[in-house]
Amino acid sequence: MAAGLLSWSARRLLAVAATRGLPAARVRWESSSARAVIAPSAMAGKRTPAPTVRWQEDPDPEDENLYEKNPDSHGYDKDPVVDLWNMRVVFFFGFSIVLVLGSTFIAYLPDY
Amino acid sequence: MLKIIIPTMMLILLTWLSKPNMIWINTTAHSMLISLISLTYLNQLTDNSLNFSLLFFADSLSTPLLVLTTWLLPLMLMASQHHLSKETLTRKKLYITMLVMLQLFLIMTFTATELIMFYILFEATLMPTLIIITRWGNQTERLNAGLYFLFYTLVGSLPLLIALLWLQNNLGTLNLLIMQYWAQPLPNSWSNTLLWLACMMAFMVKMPLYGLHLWLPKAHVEAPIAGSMVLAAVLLKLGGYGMMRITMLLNPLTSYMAYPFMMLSLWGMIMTSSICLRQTDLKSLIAYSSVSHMALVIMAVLIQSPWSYMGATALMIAHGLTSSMLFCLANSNYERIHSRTMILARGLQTLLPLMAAWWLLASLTNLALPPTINLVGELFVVMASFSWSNITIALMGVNITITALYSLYMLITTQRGKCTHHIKNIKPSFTRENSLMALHLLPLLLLSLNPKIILGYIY
Repeated sequence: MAAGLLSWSARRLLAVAATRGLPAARVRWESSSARAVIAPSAMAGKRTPAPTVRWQEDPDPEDENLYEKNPDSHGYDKDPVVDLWNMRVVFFFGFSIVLVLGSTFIAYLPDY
Repeated sequence: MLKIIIPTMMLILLTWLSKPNMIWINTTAHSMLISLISLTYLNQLTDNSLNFSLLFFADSLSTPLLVLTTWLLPLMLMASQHHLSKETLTRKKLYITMLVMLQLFLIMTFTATELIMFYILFEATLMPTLIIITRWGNQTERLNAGLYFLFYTLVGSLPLLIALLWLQNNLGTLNLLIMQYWAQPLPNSWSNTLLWLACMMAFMVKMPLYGLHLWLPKAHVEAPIAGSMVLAAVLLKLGGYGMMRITMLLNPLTSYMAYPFMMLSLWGMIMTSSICLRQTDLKSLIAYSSVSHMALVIMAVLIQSPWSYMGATALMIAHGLTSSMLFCLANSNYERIHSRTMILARGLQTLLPLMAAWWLLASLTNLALPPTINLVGELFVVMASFSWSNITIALMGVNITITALYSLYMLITTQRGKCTHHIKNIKPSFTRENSLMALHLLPLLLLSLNPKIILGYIY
């Protein structure tokens, strides 16, 4: 599996290098234990150019990067305004009201 | 008690009537306010409980569990926001409704005076949990997990219904407040032995006891994050709470009926801790860790000494917060790499240092580091079991060691070492996730400053 992964990433690198016009080393990286060794020169014309921008090696098509549209995302919502207010509400009610006032209340409870 | 029951019911209405972009904000804010109100019940009277009505009361045992339940709802809502973001609006509202209904049943269960009402609500909590697991779980195994969860608990608790009806007929009442003063010693006979078993098995399955624990890893692993949180933090404690209440009726049988269950607990805590060391699935590891900690609580409740009851109550609250936090941490991993396998995401400390701090603190509380309440609970239970029988210290000591081993194993596998090459592009931690961990951990650390509120009614 690791060998297959290596061969796949090697072929992708070659493809990217080909589309960018960089001189690609015509070496054969693939090991014989993986799929049949194909000389890169035979494949160069048939390969579709790989997309130039790809965040992950194996992106989940449903995965949405909240930071892409909103670099200040707090992780609550796609809409930046709702996201910001949600963060504020959580901090205000969660920390300032419940934790602070609650622990003050408990600290001043009589010893029973 | 209506001060929190009616607002909780109204949360459902709030969910359905809010504007689409405000549902999470409204429900989170209002559920936090409900938890603030529940803190007022910690103002307990010295010699008795707070008796609100014929139906509801709150004493020093049920109030910490009530506060834990109400505190957990906003945390569940925060944890679920991401994985529900792709669902339709109706589905989101349904999910929140399930969580709120579960909260409602749990509040009423912990504060019920009548044991029949306790039983009905105990069973009622199964339905929203089952719906959450089977509808919103991620893998196909969730159906099997739901079946195991439902039928293990039902088969364990049907004898409890029969026992409660017989007791009601016999004693005239099943009101916990009256029974504290009215409980007659149970004479030694075969039918009373069966009565003891009928009463206790429901709670043994719920805790779960080692031989009856098969539903727990399945249910915890297949449930979505909010399901895992509420299962680990609160639903297991229903078993402990029920056991502590029902044992007041079952003396003096408990002194010898308890032996097989104590043996199972002692052996089971070591077995399940050892299984944790061999787990590859992160959620499964945390689930088995829950079984191990709850085995300590079972031991404590069956020993029935003042120290052990204090330890059991403290351990229930401490474990609730700790395991819920661990599930949230596992979920933050899962949302990034879409896998629960631990070794797939290693060396996270270099990529997400703040999350690594939360991982460290959660693992340290899980292994009962002083001065957290986890240690207070475990230590009280170990001391009580030593005084019950000196030999148990060997098994308890082995369990504590293995707990430390697997907690550190989990920490080191996920956080330390070299990063795996495919996770270099994971997204940084969200404020939502960091505040979720803080809201789990801060109550836990604050309680270590004032543990007497969670030490139960024996304190």
